[in-house]
Amino acid sequence: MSLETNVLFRTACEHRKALDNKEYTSLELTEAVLEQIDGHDASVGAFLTVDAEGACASARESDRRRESGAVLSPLDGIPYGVKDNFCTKDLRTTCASRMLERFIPPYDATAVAKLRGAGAVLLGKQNMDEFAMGSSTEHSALQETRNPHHHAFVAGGSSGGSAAAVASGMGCFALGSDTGGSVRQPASFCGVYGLKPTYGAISRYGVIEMATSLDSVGIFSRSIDDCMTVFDVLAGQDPLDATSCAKGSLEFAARPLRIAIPDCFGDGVLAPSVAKALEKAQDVLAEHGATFETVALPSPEQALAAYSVLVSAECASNLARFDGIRYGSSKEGDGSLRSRYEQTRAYGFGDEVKRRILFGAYVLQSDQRTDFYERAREVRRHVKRGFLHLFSKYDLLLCPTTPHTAFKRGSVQTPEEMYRADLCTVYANLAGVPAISVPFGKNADGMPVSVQLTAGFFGEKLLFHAARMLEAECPREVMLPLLEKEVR
Amino acid sequence: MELSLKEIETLGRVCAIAFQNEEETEKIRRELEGMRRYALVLREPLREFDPFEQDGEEETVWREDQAQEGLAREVLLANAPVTEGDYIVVSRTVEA
Repeated sequence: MSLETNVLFRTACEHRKALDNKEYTSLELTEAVLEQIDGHDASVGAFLTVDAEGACASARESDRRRESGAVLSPLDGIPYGVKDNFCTKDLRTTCASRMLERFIPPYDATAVAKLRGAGAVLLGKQNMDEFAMGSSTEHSALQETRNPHHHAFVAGGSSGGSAAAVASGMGCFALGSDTGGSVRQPASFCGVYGLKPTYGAISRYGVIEMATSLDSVGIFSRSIDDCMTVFDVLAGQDPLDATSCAKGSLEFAARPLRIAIPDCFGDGVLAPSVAKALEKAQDVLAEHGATFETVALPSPEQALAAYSVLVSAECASNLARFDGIRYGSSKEGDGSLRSRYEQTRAYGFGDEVKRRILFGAYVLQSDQRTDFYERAREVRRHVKRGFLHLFSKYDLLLCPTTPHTAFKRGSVQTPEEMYRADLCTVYANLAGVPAISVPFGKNADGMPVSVQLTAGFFGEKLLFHAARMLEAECPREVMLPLLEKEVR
Repeated sequence: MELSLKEIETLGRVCAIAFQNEEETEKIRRELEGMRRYALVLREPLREFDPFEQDGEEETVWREDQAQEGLAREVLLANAPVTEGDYIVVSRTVEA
């Protein structure tokens, strides 16, 4: 049986019901998604590795379990993909870098292992900016990902492949990593939900690090229920990740919400469609009894700069291990060990990665450390304190995910321009709090627009509660890409 | 002071990244200089942040002072573990 294309855009929860009702099997669903990848991914570029054989084998096992009434979880038999910085046993993990082009991990990341344990069907590995450094997935050393809504636009980044895949029916959900907005920004550009949970809520064991103090595992989905279901499977303490925390309840007793709106989006900062979406979201939440106040965010310019300094410093340290001897593909130099290191790293890393490593080393130098690195840590403490205050008075912060909708491929010229686009997302990472990007309509060009909700520590249940109110006002059909118009 | 080519070469050695030629070194110097300038904003004073400051329309609500009867001496003494006459005995914490 061949499934119709519109079935591919169902949510994971809808698929689960269909599987329970024997409308189709997990194998039929998986084969249909693989066909979708075959038919559309050449133009979107979401996947770096597709494991069709492994996916079909997992789907068959799931069907056997369902037949015998031994379903493992609500995700049993549901196909999904992961960003290519999650280690997957016996399946290539490249971080979209020449450095790891042939790396096959001998173990699974905890998040992947939990999904295997839940019976979910892994389709393959998704494209990203190299080592998760970038905001467009143009900085992948292996291929570029295009926005499924319009191929002239970027999919966002760094988890652009995962967002594009979920938006175009190439998997029901996906995992990404979010260090400064790398899940929420591509989710916003591609019109899907993107959750960055509280720092430590999901184990990062087996996720190749970018900036250890900021990295979080994130979730892409086509509905809030799906996002909650996946989060419920993944959250919890892991003895292999010392920063992970015990799972809290997702039950939330409804009450009127107190919501803060940042004051830093003056005239011209936001694209008109984004400003309009923000107003509409405010109206919808107000109809449910929410009250709003405008607040000042802690030092926006310094927060962005602090993020850039901290990320670079941690990248320089984390990526020191890729020298072609301990880790990574090796390249011969002039015969000396130093030359081998230098040539390996010069060839193996792309421009953006090199830039961040070098800048990281610069801000950590003894004569610059106080002015840059130590000061950035001070700003981060200031942001964290500010957010603690904020969430002692308000339940949520409502703002855009990005000031603009997806930009055209090749249009961002300097690294600073790229960093400035992270204005709305870096706060959640600096403070360690959860945030979600909620698709909320399209602009006149048909590109998705979204809003972002941020909550206090372990406030995921509040995020889901409020996001569901917005979801009811923005039907999924509105957010679907027009896949038949591949090149407009 | 702007980053020099010599500093970039030193950083390249520290990070074990070879530059292919002078053109590449100069390109990286320009980009890192842009990032350095961008990060100079860190030197500026931080914006004070206190969401409570913005509650212009809210006022603290006070109640009128009211004189109330205190507890009787006997009730208080009855709750003390050890007493001596009208006093509560506590452990000595400072040696004389």
